[in-house]
Amino acid sequence: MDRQALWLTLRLAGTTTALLLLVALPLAWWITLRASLARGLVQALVSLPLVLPPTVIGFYLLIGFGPLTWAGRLITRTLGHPLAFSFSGLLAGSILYSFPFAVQPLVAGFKAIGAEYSEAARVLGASPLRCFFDVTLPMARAALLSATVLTFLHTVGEFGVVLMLGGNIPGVTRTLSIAIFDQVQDGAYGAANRTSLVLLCLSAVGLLAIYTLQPSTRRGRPLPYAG
Amino acid sequence: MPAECLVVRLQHSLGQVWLDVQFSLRAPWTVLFAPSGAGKTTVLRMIAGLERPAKGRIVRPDGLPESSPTVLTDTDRRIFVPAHRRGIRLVAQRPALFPHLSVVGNVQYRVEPKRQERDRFLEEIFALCRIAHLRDKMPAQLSGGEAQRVALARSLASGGDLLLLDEPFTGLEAELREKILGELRSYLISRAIPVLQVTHDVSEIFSAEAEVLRMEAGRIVAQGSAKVVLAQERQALLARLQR
Repeated sequence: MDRQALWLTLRLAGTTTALLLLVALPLAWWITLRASLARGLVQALVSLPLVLPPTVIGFYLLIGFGPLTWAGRLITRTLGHPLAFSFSGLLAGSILYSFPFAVQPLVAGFKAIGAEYSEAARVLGASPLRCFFDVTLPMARAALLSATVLTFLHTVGEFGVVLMLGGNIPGVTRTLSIAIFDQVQDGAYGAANRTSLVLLCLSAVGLLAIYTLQPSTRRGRPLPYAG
Repeated sequence: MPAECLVVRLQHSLGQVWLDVQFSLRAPWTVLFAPSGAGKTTVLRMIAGLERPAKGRIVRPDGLPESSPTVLTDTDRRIFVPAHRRGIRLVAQRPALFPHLSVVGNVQYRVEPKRQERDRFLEEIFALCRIAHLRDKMPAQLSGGEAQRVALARSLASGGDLLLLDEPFTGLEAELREKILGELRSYLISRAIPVLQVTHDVSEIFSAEAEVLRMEAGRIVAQGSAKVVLAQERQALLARLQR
């Protein structure tokens, strides 16, 4: 078992999930406020990684972060090193690749909440931001849980983007999915089996969490009010 | 209360009906009476700031708290004060209680934090709306009538200086409705909070001793005491009661 790869994978997935949720929450809220061409365009862009081969995303990011583009040159000048083949580069790639897994469940969750709840909060004097944190977000807890788990698991299982953008540098960019690939290449099926089992268990536990920890409001348990 | 606490002029298309209303609130309790589909709810939503009229002006004359804006909507001057800054509370037809909060959580959602004796204030509202026994329940465990009373309590607890009621007593037993209406009227008058209620139930209007705005085909056709404006309906109601 490659403990270094396990730690790197968990660190990458955790950081990606945390950063992505910070961006995905306001973005998903903005998308659901009303229908418009701009919102449709943003949603289509966000969903691109769902249909694009990961190698295509990896390729474009590799070129984009490299010395051939002005953005790549600016990043290299600012950071002192190119983004490609580094943990930061892997993180940027993971964020882009997992974007739809964070945004889509949230958009679906926010859309499922009837407008009457936010209207009720507004006519009680709550500002749109308070309304979001007090009403919309708590009511979309199930969607938030799904977005968190799916983003985390999707990042854990990433292969194409990681290989294209990060290469296979032990301790820096070698994640568990790359380690399995290496182990199979080396004919170490026992090790590959153990690593695969870890990923299988992680995925199963995550999905179990989505389907069993759905918040219920029908239990008659008064929730603590932080008013 | 000032002579006029709200002046409304609205023009708006509602599909087949062209809404063209003009009125002012002068009484502590005013009822907008019209058949279903006449645009009553739209008028309330526009006053609350949840919808924008195609053309119109909604003004709250002086005499109200200085914190409240005077001109709420003015399409000519492109003024539209958002709902949360209007100081107007609306109890909608659908209670829309926050399902993740208990009854007490809903009622104290926007309770004025500076208010002295907050607990006593909340107890008074719980008693008025007959929901004290429901305080620890979740919205999903309430009946329609109970949910409506909680929604009313939530609006009362959040302050505001004008209350809009969109048929909030539908489905309540007549006896309970009479009691709540009577106490609510005294409560609001003592706090100088005027009410604009929408209904098509004549008996509710006479219970509230309200001034009536009669709306037909998108226009206000009469304004005055219920006895005069709804004389015909009153006769019919009395005849039905005598049977």
